[in-house]
Amino acid sequence: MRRVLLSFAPVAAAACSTALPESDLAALLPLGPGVAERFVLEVEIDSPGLTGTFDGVLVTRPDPPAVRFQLLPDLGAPILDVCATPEGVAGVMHGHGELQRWPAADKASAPELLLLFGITLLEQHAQVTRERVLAASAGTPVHLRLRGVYPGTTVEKAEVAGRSVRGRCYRYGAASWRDHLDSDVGTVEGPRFRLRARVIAREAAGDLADDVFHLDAAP
Amino acid sequence: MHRLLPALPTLALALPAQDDGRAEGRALLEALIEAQAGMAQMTAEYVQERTTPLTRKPLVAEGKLAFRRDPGCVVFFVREPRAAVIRLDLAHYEVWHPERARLERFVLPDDQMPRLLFDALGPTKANLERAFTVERCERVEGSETLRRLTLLPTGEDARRIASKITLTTDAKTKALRGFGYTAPRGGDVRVTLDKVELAAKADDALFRLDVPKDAQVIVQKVPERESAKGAEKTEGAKPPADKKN
Repeated sequence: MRRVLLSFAPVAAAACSTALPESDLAALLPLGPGVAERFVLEVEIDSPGLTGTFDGVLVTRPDPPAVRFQLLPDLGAPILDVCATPEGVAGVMHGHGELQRWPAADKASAPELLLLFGITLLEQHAQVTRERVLAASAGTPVHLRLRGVYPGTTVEKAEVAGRSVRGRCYRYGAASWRDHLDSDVGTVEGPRFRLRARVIAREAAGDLADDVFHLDAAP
Repeated sequence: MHRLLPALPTLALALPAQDDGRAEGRALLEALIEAQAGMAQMTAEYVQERTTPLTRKPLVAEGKLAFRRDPGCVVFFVREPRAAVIRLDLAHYEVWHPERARLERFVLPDDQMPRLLFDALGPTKANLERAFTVERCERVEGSETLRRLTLLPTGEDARRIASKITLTTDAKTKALRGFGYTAPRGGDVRVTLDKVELAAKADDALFRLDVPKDAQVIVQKVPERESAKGAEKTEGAKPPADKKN
């Protein structure tokens, strides 16, 4: 009982704006995709480590949450590959670069670009459940404060539109950034990077094998 | 037991080909080298198909390419899925996006990647013996004359870029009809060539990437590997991206 009360306390704490009644929140949740999906994207990135226009492929699994994302230049094999689960993020840039790993930990890692991509994609494609809601404010649109799927991440503000989240403001350690999703275009903006992705193709991906969500060092 | 019996004739037929067609592959390569002996330039229509462990269907791009043997350069004039010009020489990988009036120039850390491609497009006896071994030769499904040769790069650095390389040749005309590679972390690139034309003299204008003066030019350095072998690390190098306008 005490644990239940504790979980309700953050919602009450949001009362500085008008807190969303618990019954309305229950009717709203869960939010987000409930199925594994595969995306083909056209991606523009502007960052210190990589700038350009690329093809992107993304696969997502809502439960247990996992994403994997690859960027391909106009010619040749992927030059960026990142895989994220709540247990950690792993990624490689420039194709033949070394694999980097960020195991989930209490202390936030330095906000490397690959890590932030992994955290963002994981959050975008995981469901918002009651357990993750720290605060909810009534209004149009409804705003939520969420415990991030990736440990140490907080979604300071998630803007709800219909049955999905249209935009988020993230915080991880000292890093903060935001995303915005329209019907087929998503943007992610941070202090030193900007990504814009346009969906070329999207389909359910019930055929995904578990090992797709593992990224190993090159053989 | 009776289910195993029908397999026996198949096994017997396979016995003479125990070398996986390597002898035929070497002969076809020699024929290709001979057919390209006087070549300074090759042009062709191309279709690029890329698959990775994440894709269900290949990512397809198509257009026209031009290859110059010396100095080594290849240019892809991409029509689909979006218009672009890709130019690769021994030091740079450049992409011109006309609709954005933007040139993205990557300064390569070494010449390994372009050399692999140039050696595949215009193999010579010397670079084949230096750079590859023939692993397999097989008939391309649905074709009487096309053969797909699988080559293994012999250099350790080259193997970090491509774990294997494929060349498709026409056994009848001796022409190169395709090439491709497999990336060590997974990902297959296959390029099919059509309307292949060889020229004894290169048209250097094809290999110049002239962009408007007011175009945005983004220059990036692809970082060198920090260790000789695939060790893991926890922090990554961040190369600068210089923007000129």
